[in-house]
Amino acid sequence: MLLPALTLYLAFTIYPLIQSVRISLYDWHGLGPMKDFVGLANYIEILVGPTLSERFWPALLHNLIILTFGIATLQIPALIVALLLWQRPARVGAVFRTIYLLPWAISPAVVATLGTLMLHPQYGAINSLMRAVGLGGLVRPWLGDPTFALPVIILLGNWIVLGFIILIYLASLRSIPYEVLEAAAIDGASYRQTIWKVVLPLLRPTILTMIGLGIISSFSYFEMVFLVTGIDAGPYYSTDVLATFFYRTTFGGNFGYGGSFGAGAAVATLMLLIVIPSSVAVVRLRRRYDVGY
Amino acid sequence: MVLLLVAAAVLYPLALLVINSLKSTQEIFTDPNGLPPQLRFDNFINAWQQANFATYYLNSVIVTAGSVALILVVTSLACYVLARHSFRWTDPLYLFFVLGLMMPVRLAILPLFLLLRDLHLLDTLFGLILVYSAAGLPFSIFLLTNFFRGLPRELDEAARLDGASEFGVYRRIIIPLSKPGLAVVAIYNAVLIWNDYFFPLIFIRSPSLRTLPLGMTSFYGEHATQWDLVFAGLTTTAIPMVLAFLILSRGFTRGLTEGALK
Repeated sequence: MLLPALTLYLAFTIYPLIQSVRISLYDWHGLGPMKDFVGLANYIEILVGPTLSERFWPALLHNLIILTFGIATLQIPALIVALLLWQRPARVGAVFRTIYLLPWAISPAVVATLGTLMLHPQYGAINSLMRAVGLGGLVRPWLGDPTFALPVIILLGNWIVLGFIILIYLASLRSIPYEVLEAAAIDGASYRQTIWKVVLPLLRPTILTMIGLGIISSFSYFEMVFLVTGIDAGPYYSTDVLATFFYRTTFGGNFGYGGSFGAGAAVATLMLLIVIPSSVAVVRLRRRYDVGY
Repeated sequence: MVLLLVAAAVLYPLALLVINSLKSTQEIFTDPNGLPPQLRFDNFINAWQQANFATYYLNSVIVTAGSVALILVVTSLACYVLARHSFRWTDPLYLFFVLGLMMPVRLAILPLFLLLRDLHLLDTLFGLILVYSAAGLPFSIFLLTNFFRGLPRELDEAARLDGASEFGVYRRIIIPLSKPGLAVVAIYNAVLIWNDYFFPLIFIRSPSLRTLPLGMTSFYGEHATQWDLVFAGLTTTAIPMVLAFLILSRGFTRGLTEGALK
């Protein structure tokens, strides 16, 4: 009964991941057999070489920005909203929860396209709205501005998943037993103390899980950048992430690198080397705070 | 107050999407936030005719339904063993599956591409189904194993005493009792697969095999200046799933909050 799942998992997840490591050790462009073993040359090229490293490090930095800016603009608001919803009657809570969850049903491809149109410098709804409410002075070509393009793209992505994260925090809040809160009240804890000293510590495992998922998703970030600012992650690579860098390296971009499967696989392996240890660390940390009710 | 503001931020782009799909390009350009002066439903007819939305819809339905069906069968069988039997290898095997949660399959896109090429499954819907099913396994196994473990064991034993086989217990006891859990697994995977853009982008070459998100973006590429058509196309792509999800969301949130995430 286990065989079908195991076969599928081994063939289409484990084998490709291992194969990725193997390909990264060859100079190979996808045609014919892999025979030019080059050891770590692809990695050296990416980390310190003349062409690839120039794009690798900024892309890595952008992924880290997505992770940290993403936590600040996604996890914290989601937690606050969940805490607010938690105190409302279940009926009201359910209505808001349903509204917040709607964007989760929409494809990133749609959101990216819609975002591009909404942020159009001339005809976009956002700039038009800002002019209407007297913020016309702040209007700018959001996606054409190297400073703002990446944060704006992150916010577009946040819009999709915010409701889902609120839902999970809310579920975790609802599972706190009533007696715990009652005990805090009897001991004379104020609302603020209850939240900071009782509720948030109990939420630690969930918060860590969300951060773990955040690490994984911010390092596989692709659609938003690819569809909003293009394969060259403009303006001037200011929105480039490892996944778009990987795409260009593998299938050929326009910076004089004709597409190399070996180098592409090395980028993917480096991404795995970042993601797996950091999520293992998060899981370990989570276990320390695990609570059983 | 905060709750209402967040609701507004969530609903504003959705409203914009629908409103602008009923205007002419000129009307969108002059006032993107205004209500349509008249409802131009023919935008939808034009978009539907100019892109092969019918084909894209059909492809998305085939891929999503195929993958979800495969995921449900394969994971429920596996989770039955993982949750109901304790051999020395069940716990390590469960961890091995769940480890997949930390390894985004997307990062193995290149070997997957080569694997599908060698299996002659590149540029086929069946290839997509296999990849999605494998990608959905870790989370589904995690969720369903926990759900199965929560079911009372006495029922299994009673059924066994009545002479039920291993498969009989699975089919007649576990599956009927697990409908909420199975529903969560199905909806969660269906939403992600239906909306995915990445795998079709890499694996699908033929225009006639494009799924909805891929078809929509190529439609946008061809009609980038005709915003009336683009908005109608975006609405056609997004709104049916939003409505379907609205109907299913109660069962989904309940199943997710009560069963799985403890």
